[in-house]
Amino acid sequence: MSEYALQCVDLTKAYDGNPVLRGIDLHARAGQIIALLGPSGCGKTTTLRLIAGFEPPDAGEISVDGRVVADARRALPTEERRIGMVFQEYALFPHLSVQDNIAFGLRGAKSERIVEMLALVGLKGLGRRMPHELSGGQQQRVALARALAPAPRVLLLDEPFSNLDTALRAQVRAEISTILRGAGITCLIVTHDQEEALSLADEVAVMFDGQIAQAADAQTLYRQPATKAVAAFVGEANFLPGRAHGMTARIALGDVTLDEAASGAVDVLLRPEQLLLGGEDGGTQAQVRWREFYGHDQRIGVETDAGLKLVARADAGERFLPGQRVGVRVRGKGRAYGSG
Amino acid sequence: MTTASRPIIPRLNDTAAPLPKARLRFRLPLVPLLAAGLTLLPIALLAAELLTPRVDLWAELWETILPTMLGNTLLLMVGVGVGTLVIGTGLAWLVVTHEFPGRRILEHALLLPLAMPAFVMGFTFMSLFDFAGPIQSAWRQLFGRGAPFPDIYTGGSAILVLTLVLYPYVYMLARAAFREQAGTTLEAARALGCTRRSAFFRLALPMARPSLAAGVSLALMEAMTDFATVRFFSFPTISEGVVRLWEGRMDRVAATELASLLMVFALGLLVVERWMRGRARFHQQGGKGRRVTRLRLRGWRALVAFLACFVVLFAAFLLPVGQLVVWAVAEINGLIPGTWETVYGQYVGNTFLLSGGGAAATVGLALVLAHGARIYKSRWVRGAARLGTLGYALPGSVVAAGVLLTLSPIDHALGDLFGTGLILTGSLAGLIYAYVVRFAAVAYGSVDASMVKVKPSMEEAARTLGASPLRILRRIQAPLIANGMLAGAILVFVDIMKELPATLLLRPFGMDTLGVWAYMLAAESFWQAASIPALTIVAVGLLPVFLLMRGGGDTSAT
Amino acid sequence: MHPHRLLMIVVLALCVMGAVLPAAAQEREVVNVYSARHYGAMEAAFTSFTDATGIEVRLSQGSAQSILERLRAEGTQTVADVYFTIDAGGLDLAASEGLLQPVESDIITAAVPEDLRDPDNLWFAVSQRMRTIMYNPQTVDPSELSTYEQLADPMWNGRLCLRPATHIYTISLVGALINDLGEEAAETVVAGWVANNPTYIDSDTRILETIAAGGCDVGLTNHYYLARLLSEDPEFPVALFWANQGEDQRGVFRNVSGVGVTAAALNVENAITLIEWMVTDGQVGDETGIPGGNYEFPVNPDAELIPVIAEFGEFTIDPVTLSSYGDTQEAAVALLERAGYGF
Repeated sequence: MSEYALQCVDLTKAYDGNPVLRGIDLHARAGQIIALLGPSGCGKTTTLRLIAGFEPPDAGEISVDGRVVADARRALPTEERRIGMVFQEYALFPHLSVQDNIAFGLRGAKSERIVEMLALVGLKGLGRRMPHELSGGQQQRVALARALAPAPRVLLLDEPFSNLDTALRAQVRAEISTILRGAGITCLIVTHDQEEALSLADEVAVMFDGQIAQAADAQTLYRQPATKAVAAFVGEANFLPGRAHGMTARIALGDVTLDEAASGAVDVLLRPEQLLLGGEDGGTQAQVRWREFYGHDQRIGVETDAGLKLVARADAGERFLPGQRVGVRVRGKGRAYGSG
Repeated sequence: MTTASRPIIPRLNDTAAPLPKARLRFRLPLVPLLAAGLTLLPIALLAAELLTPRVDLWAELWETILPTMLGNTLLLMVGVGVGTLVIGTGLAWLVVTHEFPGRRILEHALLLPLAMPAFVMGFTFMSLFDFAGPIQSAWRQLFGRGAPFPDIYTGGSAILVLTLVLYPYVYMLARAAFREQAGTTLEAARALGCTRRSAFFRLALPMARPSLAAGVSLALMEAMTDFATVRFFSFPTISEGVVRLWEGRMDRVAATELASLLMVFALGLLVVERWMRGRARFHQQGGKGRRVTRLRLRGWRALVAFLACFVVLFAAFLLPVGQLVVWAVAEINGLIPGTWETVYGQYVGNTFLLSGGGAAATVGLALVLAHGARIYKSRWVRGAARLGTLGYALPGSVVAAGVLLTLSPIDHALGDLFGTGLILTGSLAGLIYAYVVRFAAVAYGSVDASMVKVKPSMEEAARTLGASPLRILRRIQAPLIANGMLAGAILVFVDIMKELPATLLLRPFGMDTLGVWAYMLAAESFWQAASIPALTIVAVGLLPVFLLMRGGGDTSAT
Repeated sequence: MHPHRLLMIVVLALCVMGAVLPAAAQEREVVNVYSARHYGAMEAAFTSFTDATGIEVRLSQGSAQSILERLRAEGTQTVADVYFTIDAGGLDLAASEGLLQPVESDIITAAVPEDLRDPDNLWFAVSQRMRTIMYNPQTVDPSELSTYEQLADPMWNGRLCLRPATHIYTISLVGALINDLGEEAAETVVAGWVANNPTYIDSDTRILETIAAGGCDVGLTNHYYLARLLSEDPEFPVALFWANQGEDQRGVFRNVSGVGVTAAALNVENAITLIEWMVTDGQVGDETGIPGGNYEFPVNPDAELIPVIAEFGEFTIDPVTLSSYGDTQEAAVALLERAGYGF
């Protein structure tokens, strides 16, 4: 048996000559939760559809449990892949009751499994309801129960929370996370919401324009983004042009220490929380342009006298007003990217 | 959660069955392609017939009846085209943009002639207006024996009758089109100094063009399939010729050749219609613009508007139905009890069996096509589905000829092998096949339109749950579109009831329908006897018309 | 029940019915008849046959030409047991092409005179009809009328009502003219009719009604259409003239409806029973009889005439043998087309 429950190698796919996927590599160990994160149109949903078997890849290979299920010439039909899927709009069968929805993928003795699944997703006693009689969150749990009931090898989730109210989202996400972990199933979650990806997944693959820019755990992704684009997409980023010499770089805010050696013209990544705003007496002189207050912290937009616009994050305690003069200093290490 | 003690999903080293050892393979959309091929085959074979014309036969036809038939067919097309366009569009404009006494009822009632098969209208009119009929008799009483009255055995009569039966196709689509046009557009035009009349000609009419083209072409397709009405009025067309050669002379070869010529007409019509619709996809931006405010007519104008609608309704529905009822009452009084019920019951049984079987088969095929177009996202399947519904443009006699071309080699092969009789062409199978080819589009339109209710993700979800395409069709698609299937089935059922040429040419032994019965009686001028089966057809035909009225005139006509 | 379940059940039921009904019908005693006799004229007669024998009659109707062609096309594979047509020509053609089988039945040969059946007993007439001249007594004096040929005289210009060339009645009448006069003379006659600008009406009944209404003065129809109209309305203002009755003339044109057992018949016994009934008990002069239901003349000399047709009076019948009708049929079709006779 292969090391990976799900493996994609060099998947490519084009529609009408327009490449959508250009060599996707993805690996998920058994029980691992992987998130595929990217802006809309980056090809993440296409990747999911290829894995599900709704469409064949132009090239590359998809394996489940070490068995090839699709390559450029052949494909196992979806219904034989043992892959579960939860759809963005849930796709519950409106004419079937909750328990019939759950039973749809089951063979043989069903009732015990239905009870089990209803318990798992916390919908005990609602088996006879029709989908339209349920709330959005309940519908989603039915969709999940339905997908899990036949014991798929891999579960795919396509933007699973985007149809929920923001208020509900965090709560449902936590519940689902618990269920998925409890089930110990290998998951691939497609999302454009970085918070979702970072909080749910063991590993996040960030995708731009048909390619995976970086696949790593959440912390690595935030601390050591592989590219400027990843850095900008995952969390907020300030890029400051400068010149690097080994472990330091000179930028408009002075010299900063780098986390890796670099040389020549670079853009240095500094996260907003790395910019400290103090009194006029220290640091680079700047003026506060705007402020967004969040309670636990606040974001402050400043413009240096040289005209450089930056975003900083500060504790809730300090008070900043637009027009106020401040001095900007750097905390921690920057990360350099070759500019251009 | 207590269940957490045991993993719900078996882990990989658990006992769960491994992935199936099924070989990787292409999944060809075999069934949908076959289904589309099945309906295309007769048309294709007939087209191939055109490539190998029998010169001697054509020479003979050309020297005898062909020029007349060609001329008559063209005349009929032009006459019915213009007639239905003028009446259908005019009435639609009247009821959509004007208010006058009786409009509410008339607006719906004007759809009623859809229930009337053309040949029923044909023989009713003939009996009413021919020399011995009540109208001419009254005329002579009024103006003396020698008072001139136009000859009714002319193309003009055939055109008039077909126009009256077929204008609702144009009316229905034109009405929908005018309704969709936002009132604001027309009001803007009027603010720019357009009169109401020029707003109609310069704006409303061009904007409705695609709908009008579709309506007229539907009417013309029906006109082209008619052989009985033109026969009643001694106005032989190509369609009539096909039936005459086949039924009268049993010269199926000659009939097939002639049918292939008729097919050229039909496909030509289809091309013209596509071209007329062409790029013109006029849709009102925003869609939900305010409706046209109705102009309230008063005095003599209101009277004229009312009369315009009423006269058409009277001539196209009330008068013929009234005559049929009078006949039927007289006929029933003279019937021998005991015998008649059995006979009538037999024809009703045959008709319901054929219409029901045909409707079920047609809807079944439409379901497979619509399902295929959904599940297999290939252009091939979608194109094939569209081609597979081409038969709606073909006259019944053409379809019958194509079906015969398709099935008789199989029949003979089977006969040689097993010594069976004409098990396909001599049985219900051949006729039902013809119905499927002819009416696939009607059912497909209905089924495909309601497929919208099935979100693609539902099908995909079902597939991830291990459902085969067949299971998806059975458990997901079919139940969700049951209403659309039912509507399609009703439409096809009634169309088959009204269908005459294919039924006449392909009906198996002892399978005479109400339509054939009525036609045979009418052809022998036993109008009184024909009125009972004819009225039965009209009565059942009203069912989809009422559905249409309730639907507010929305149609899925292709 | 879900609507789709219902639909499925209906569909299934229909399919089952389609499969089972014909099979079930096969279980009963039946006889399958290809009939050119139009609807309405026979149902009562066949019902009384079924009542008498328990044998069900299954009809498939078509024009005289179409059922003959159908029989030809189907050959040994036909399901028809009995071929029942309205024209001696069709009977003769079917017989000479081997589509019928001889029937040995003393009952039939005793009931049907020799000149009304095939010499080899391949077919038997069951009723007789005359196609003759009908006129409006208000505008036509019977002395003006004499023969079919005389209707070609220009005096009848614009006054004739005729049945179109496509109908078997017209074809067989012209076939008889060819038999009697030769092809050339027959064509002259037909051309004369055409030159008189007749009104073509594809219904004998309507021809008579048109004469009654004054639309034509003279027409050619079968006698029984008038008989039927007269029985509904004794005052119906059209009169019958027996054509070609003069001293040296051949007599009125007769045709018959007749039956034969198909060569491939499966229910031969039932078919013979049916024919026996048709020429004996079925010869009654009311609507439960084969000729009676249609106001035709019986073939069985013992049968009584219906009063209405008895009133048409005595007449001579063209003695041409019925079995010669088939020979001229094709020539008649061609002649009609050449002469420009309307269709």
